[in-house]
Amino acid sequence: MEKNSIEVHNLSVAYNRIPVLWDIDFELPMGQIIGIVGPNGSGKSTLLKAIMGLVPLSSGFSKLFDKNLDLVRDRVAYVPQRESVDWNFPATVEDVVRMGRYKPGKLFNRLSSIDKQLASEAIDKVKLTPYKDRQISQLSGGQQQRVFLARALAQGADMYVMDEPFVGVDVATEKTILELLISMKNEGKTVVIVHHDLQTVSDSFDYLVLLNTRLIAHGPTKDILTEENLQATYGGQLNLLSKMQNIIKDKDFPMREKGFEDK
Amino acid sequence: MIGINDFLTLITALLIAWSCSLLGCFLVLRKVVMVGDAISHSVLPGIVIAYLVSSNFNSGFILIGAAVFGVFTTFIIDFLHKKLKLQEDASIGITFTWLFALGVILIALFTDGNADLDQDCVLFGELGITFLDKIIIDGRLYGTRSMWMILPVFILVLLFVVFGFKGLQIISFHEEFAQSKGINVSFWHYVFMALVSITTVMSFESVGAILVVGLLVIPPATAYLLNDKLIPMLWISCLFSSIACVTGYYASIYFDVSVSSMIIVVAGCFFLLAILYSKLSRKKMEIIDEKAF
Amino acid sequence: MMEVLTYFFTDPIAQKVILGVAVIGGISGVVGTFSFLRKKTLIADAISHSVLPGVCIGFMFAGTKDPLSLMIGALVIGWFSVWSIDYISRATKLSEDTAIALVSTLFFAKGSVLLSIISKSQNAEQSGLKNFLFGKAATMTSVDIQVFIIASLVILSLVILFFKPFQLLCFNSEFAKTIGIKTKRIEFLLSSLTVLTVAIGIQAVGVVLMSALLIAPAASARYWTNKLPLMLVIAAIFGIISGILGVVFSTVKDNMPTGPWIVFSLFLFTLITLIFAPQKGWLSIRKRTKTNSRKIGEENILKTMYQLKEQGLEIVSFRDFLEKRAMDTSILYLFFKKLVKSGFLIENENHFSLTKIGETEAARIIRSHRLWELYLTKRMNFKDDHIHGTAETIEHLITPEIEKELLKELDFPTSDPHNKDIPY
Repeated sequence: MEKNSIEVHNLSVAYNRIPVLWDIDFELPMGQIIGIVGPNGSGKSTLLKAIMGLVPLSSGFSKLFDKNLDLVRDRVAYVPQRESVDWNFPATVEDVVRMGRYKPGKLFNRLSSIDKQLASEAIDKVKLTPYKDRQISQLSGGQQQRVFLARALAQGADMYVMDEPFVGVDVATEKTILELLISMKNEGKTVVIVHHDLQTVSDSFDYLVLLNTRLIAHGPTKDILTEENLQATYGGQLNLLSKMQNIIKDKDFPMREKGFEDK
Repeated sequence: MIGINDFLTLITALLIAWSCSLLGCFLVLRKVVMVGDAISHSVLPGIVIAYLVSSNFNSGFILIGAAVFGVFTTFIIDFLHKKLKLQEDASIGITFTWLFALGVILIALFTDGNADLDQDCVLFGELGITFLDKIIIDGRLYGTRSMWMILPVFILVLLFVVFGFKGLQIISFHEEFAQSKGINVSFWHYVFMALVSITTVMSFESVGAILVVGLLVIPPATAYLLNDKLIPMLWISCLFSSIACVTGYYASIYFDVSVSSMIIVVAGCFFLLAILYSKLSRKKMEIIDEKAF
Repeated sequence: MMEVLTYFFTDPIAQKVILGVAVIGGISGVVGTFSFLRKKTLIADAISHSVLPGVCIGFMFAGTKDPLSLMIGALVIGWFSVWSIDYISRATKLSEDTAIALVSTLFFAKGSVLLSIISKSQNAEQSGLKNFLFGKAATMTSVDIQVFIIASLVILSLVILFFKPFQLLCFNSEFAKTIGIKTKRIEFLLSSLTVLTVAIGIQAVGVVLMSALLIAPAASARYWTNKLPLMLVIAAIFGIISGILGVVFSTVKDNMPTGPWIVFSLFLFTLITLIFAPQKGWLSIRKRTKTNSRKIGEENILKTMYQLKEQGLEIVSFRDFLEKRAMDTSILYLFFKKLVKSGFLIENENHFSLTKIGETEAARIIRSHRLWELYLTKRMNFKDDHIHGTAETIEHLITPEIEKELLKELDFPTSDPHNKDIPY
């Protein structure tokens, strides 16, 4: 059994030369529902993208299941934000969910009947079977989110990494997603969710990461949700930190000296 | 009555139209049409250099020159946009204009108005006279030179779209997701643009630079408006471009104008009809929805 | 060479051409700046392509190549093309880039058909097509130039008159709406200016390359300044000079079109800009990187010298140094020499020691490092074993003001998280 689902060490990411993630450092446990929470612009989505290898790192590294991402890609399912797609694209619910079964080396082969069955089961789990032939532009926001979720489920991964899955969804979808998360946890999967708002679903997270460009705190939810931590997370940015961010940007300074080894 | 010359011309036009329609659907869905437009202009120096190197149009040098410049264009646009942080529209605009200018300068400097590489011809093509270049072996007609040049390109495009369908589909729909799965999106992008370049170049002679873009955009856009499934979209796009070719061809003879322009005009008419149709059916849908509630 | 230049400045025809092209270049730079800032440069490309049918229709109405009617035709169809693009991208699921390419090709094809019809009829003026496509400044007549100048003056006065709304539209259109500016009308005005510029610019560079005139001077000017008025002036200057240079270059051979050479000159300016621009140019970035490396290297040396002194070693050889801290030996010697020159170190037969000011400076750096480590642990909840790496980088950036703030914030501490003293 792996020690940690995700390990992140001294991770920094710069965007347009401004550091948006600053020396992030944590280990996440296996088999829990983990929330990454912070205000807008705190770097939550960027953190997910950094872990999924979609943005370059200025320093540090991340590991999934104690290994490099490239070695465990088939065990991780990424669910990007709903708005990252043009929903006018000609595809049905089934088409999109089946894309979860596409694999890099096997793109030129046809999907097997097992693939198709797994896709069907995934559609069923999110309660979209009556809509499986529906064109995705005709779905509501909540239904679209469930399509993404089904696509991830079809991948049969051990870890699910989701970016703001609860934004703009109806109550029914929210309920469905939460039920699914719990059943996934019961199957031993790890779920990491970027979430923007603490009020709504904080009961469902076992473990929290509080982020505001830098790491505020991480740990079991009941330990972490203190007044002090929340103030640090949502109470605006540290004055000196902002100043340093600007200096780094103006001078084009590297976030790590070359040839310096982080022990 | 279809004469043999008509037939030969039409076959050439159809092969080009189908290649452009298939690739064009993905240009439209991926929203990189203007990059395709840019490539259709910027392959010009590649053609000229290949022509200067090999002194004729029949060699594979032209294809290589095209693919190289197509990839080069894609690379420069990416470089300006991602590394030098120039905004995307300016990256595209600067790249294709200076490459095209380079091509025109090369033509003017080195060819002395030589008929083969005439500027007008490059821009407009001369579909109407391709039938003149027949290939006759042992007294039997085996098509024209242009036809045989375009056929392999069409087959290549067809194979790519058929076998690479899933890759094209996932990258067009959700690039981020594809990347997270370990799919090499960059590679697909460059291969795709290389094919666009080759298709463009092969079409130059027949349809000309400016109008290749028309075949790349208009039938796919029309199909996209009328339908919301991917595979039918590809078929419908080819259907419309085929009708446009045949109708346009005969119309151009009747009105005595250039073939390629007429084909595009006909394709444009279909497009306008499609807009009309989609607006009307949208109104109908709204009425139905209102009634439902 | 000299004769070519004198020819240009004395021959009346040449003067005319140069004047015409300069005007076009200048006005394109100005109008292009607004297109560039609004990220609508490719729409200008579509306008260029749609001008062809406009010119044809104008010609058909007027019966001659009368510049005014051609321009009116161009304007009307140009407006129509802008509206079409907007409509298609707004009212259908097609994206803007699809709309631009569509309108561009469709209009051009229609224009080409019209042109064939025209060339069949009596008026044999259609040989202007090639010039229309690629630009032939040499065919400009005095009347043409007069029209350009008038049009440019109109455009310039409108730009000056409407400068504030234009500026707002470029940088903050949301805000503009809230203070009551009729953005739709201003946008229409800007589009009209673009269409007008395209209509006259095509004479110099032709259809395909018109975009370059609108994009390149503006994009280059952007690298030299953030202020809009200055940007307009710089773009105009780039446009004017490129225009003139282009005409000069095009004389290198008979019958060469001017368009590509003007673009070539524009490209030269862009290249020069990308390399030499302050702040964002390549040389400037390289210099900053070098300066940063040097600062890091020198300060690390001073720090290490201080630490060695704390451990009792005051006179340091290279070997002593490298044992304490591994550094790139190829530049090590250079940095040491620099530090001696600046007075921070004294050298004696390849052995070095800190001077008084060297010691003060080293103490400052170490103080910055340790203060930042404290800040990380106390304010940013960093763990003790994760602070050293980032402090190693940040220590070089802490200015005296930041240091003051840190001291106040942390209440003038005496020791860092590792219980080392903070030197004052």
